[in-house]
Amino acid sequence: MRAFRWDMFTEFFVKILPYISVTLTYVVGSVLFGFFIGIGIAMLRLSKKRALQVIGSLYVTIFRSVPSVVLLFVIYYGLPMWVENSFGIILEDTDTIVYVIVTFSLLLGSSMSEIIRTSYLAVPKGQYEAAVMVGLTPFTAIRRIVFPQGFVVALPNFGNIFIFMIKEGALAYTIGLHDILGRGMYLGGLKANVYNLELYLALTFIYWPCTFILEKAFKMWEKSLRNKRKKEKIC
Amino acid sequence: MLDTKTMVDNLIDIAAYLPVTIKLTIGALLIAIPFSILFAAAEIKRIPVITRLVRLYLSIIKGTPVLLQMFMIYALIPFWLNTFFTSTGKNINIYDIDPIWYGYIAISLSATAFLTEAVRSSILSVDKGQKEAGYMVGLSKWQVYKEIILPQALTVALPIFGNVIVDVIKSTSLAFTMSVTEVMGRAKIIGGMTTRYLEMYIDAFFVYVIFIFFVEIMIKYIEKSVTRYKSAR
Repeated sequence: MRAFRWDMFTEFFVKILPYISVTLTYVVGSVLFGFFIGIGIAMLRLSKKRALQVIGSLYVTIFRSVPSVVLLFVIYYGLPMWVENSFGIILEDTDTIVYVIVTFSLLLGSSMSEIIRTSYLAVPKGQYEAAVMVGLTPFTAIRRIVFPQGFVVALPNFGNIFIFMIKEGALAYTIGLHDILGRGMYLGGLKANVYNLELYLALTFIYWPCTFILEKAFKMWEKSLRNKRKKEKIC
Repeated sequence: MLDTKTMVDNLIDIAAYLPVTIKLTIGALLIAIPFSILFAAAEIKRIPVITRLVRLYLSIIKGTPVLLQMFMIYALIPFWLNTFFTSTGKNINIYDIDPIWYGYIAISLSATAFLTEAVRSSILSVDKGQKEAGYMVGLSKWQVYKEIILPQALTVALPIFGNVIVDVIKSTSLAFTMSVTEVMGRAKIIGGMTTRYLEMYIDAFFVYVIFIFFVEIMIKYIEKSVTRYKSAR
């Protein structure tokens, strides 16, 4: 067994580090679009019409049970074909990251809708009614009264979604995107995969701190929000 | 356009690899269950060094992509085994080992982490007073666990356990990167043979969605039959 090459480890680590920005791009993009899809689906599920409810829960069931890699491949091969057939636009030069964001927005849409729905239901209806009674418009009532309370309930779950997305987004490597993992595998390939142990360790020490810091940050944010609310209650 | 004929023709061929997916899931869970019980026990008991190590393991495994864990297992274990075999003079060819074994191990890493959380939180969910009351009426430690804590913990653990099973099934779809031919791997292979990648991946999509749909119905059914112990709260 050969000795561990620390110099290779550092070289990989330093060279991969800038590609965190690629990973962060699709994480933020997917979470953002996923949030909007989630709001849409949650509204469908909370609506009074039976047909809309069924559509909403069908969406959640399907996208909850499909493995990310399968959907990623379906979108990667299917989206250009679909766009070409229905709009006549050829998506040849589209950046790979677009397919990643589309895929994960669809996937996160289902989990986001559940988070939004449960945190909306967690705020008692009387709060909204009381707000409207004292003269707020329905939109202001949602924005100022319902949303801040639902947000505290939803926050830990949002944190989990970010962490999930950093990890699951690594699948983008399978369609050739140069994110953290993709860049790492490319660099490893340049060295004929001889230093894979060093490479994998370097990747671990990039991914792990990212998720660790994010987890702690969300915990702190949640705590400060709860403390603030407690103080308000006392006053 | 979508070649629906090829799609329909090969659906059965791809679905025929579901047993491999099921095998991977069960194998990984069988490795993960004993470890997760031990790890959860270590977390609850707070044994000085061991608890720290367990927490470190959980943090690393939960903080890195499953794909990276798979690459690591698939690259390192054969390498170490080879060094071990050559140094001990055994004449075993590591390429004879079925790659599904690396699949079991790689998937069980993350399954262990999530199951540990499930076991720990469900045991802690049973009120401490229950345990004390059990001791008060003269039950032994084993009896308290078997008759009082476990039946109640199980009702909390089962829904989480169900989610873990679904997650494990989903992560087996990555095993094709370790050259295990399961549903996704088969779809990729036929896609290469027919150059109809999209159709095959849509097939795989349907196979997974329908399979997981049935698994979830089964889990719900089991949940219902166990929740008769549910504590009134």
